[in-house]
Amino acid sequence: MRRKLTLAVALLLVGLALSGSDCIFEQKVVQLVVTGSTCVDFEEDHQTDNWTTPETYDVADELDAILSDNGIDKDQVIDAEIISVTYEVIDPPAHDWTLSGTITVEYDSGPQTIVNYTNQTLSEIDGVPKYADLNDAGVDEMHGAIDAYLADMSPLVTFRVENGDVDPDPSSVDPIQFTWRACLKIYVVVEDEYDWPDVFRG
Amino acid sequence: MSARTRLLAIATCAAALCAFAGTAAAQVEDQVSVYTGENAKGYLEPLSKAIGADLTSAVWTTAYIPEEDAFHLSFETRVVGLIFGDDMRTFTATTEGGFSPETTEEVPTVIGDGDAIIVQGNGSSSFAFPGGFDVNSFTLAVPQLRIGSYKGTEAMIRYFAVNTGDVDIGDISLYGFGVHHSISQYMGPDFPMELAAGVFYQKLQVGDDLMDATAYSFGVQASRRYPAGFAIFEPYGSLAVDMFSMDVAYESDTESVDISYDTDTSVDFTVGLNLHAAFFHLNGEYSISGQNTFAFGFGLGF
Repeated sequence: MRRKLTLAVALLLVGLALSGSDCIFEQKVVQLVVTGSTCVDFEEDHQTDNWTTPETYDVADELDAILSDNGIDKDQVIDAEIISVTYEVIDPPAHDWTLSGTITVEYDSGPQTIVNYTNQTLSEIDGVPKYADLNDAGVDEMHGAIDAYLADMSPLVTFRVENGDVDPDPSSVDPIQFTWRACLKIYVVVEDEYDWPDVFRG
Repeated sequence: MSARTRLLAIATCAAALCAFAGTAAAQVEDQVSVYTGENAKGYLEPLSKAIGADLTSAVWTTAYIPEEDAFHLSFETRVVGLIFGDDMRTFTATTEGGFSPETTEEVPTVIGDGDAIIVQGNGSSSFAFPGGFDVNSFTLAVPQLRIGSYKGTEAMIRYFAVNTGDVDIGDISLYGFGVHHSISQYMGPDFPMELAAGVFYQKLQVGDDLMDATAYSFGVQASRRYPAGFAIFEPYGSLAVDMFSMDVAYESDTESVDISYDTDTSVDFTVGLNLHAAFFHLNGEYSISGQNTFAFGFGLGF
C-alpha cells in the first residue's frame, strides 16, 4: 500500500512538472507610484535684513537617488512632479527671529519664485517642517528641470533664499546665524509589467 | 483547452503560486508604500477579503469519516478562487504628503485598474494615486494532509512555506490544523446521509510582520456516497461560520504603517461534488458567503 501511494505521489508531481508550459499567467501593466524627498540646506550668517543665499542643486543626482532607493530604472519613469514643498530650521539661531522673503528656483528661464514666507518665526519651524504655499512659476520651472532629466539631460538648478525683512534687525553685534532646509516631495510614476497567475481565467 | 489540460494547468499554477507569492508580495508592498492610514487600508481591503474567503473555503469537503478505527491518509491540494466584484476595484482615497488642497478621489484598489490617477493642486503641484494590479480573481492553493480515523474523528493539517529570496519580504508560510468528527455515527444505520462537524484554524504569515492573517472555520457538513462502477460520486453541502482577521505592517516613504482589519465574521453555505476512484480523489464546490468562492481539489489517499 505504501509503495503504491509513493508511486502515485511521484506520478502526480511529474504530471505537474510536465504541464508547466500550460500554466495560465496573464501579463499585466501597472503604473506604480513612488515618492521621495530631496532637500537643499541654506546656511545663513548675516548682519542685514536683505540677503541672498544661493545653492546649486543637481537634479539628476537627486532624482537618481530617489529612483535607486526604490529600485527603479530611469527608463521606466513616465512622469515625475512636485507634490509639496516644506521648509524647516535644522540648526537654530541663538534667539528667535521673524523673517519675510521668497525662495526662488532658476533653471532655464530666470529665477522664479517657488515659495513665499511672510512673518515666519524661526522658532515655529525649528525641527518642524512647514508646508509652503506654492507658486506656479517656480513649480513650473522645477518641472522643466525634471523633464530635462527625464530626457537624459543633466540639469542644474539654483535655489536662492531672497530675504527681505528680519525682525529684530540683525547687526554686527547680533548677526542672524542659522541653517534651514527646503525639501521638495516628488512623486514618480513608473510603468511596470508583471505576470499574474489567474488560474480561473476563462 | 481540454478539461484534463486545464486541470493540469490549474495544478501547476497552484504549485507555481507558492513560488510567485514572494514576487507578488514585494510588488504589493512597493505599490502600497505611498499610502498611509485609511488610504492603505482601503487600497488593500480586497486582498484581505480574498485571502479570508479563500482560506475558509474548501476546508471539509465530505462528511464521510470511517467509523472503524483504521488508518487513513490522504494528501490533497485545494485550489480556491474568488472573482472580484466591480465594487471592489475602487475606493475613496485622500491626497497625502502635504498636497494642497486636500482632495478625495475614487481611485483603484490593489485589484483595480492599472493606471495611476493624477490630480492637480495649487501652484502647479500634483498628486498621483497608484494603479492597481488589474486582476479579476484571486487564487490560493493549499496543500493539506488528512489523517484518520479514531472513533469517527479525523485530523487535517495544512502547511506550506516558501523563502521569497527578498530580504524585505522574508518567508511566506501557511499552517493550519483542525479536527472533524462524524455525527451520523450516532444516528443509527438507517440515517440517510453522513453528517459531521469540524473546526479549523489557519495562520498565514508574510515576513516577520508584513502580513499576519488568522482564520477560523466552524461548520457542519452533510454528504452521501453513490457508487457507480469503479467510482464513487459524493455530493455534499456544508454550513459554516468563518472568522478572519488580518494585520499588515510596512514602511511607507515617510513612516511605519500598521493596519489592522477588524475580525470579519461570515456564514458560508457550500455545495459540492466529490469523485473518488481508487486512490484518486477530485472535488469541485461553490460557496455562497460574504465573498463567493469556487474551488477545485485533488488528492491521493487511501
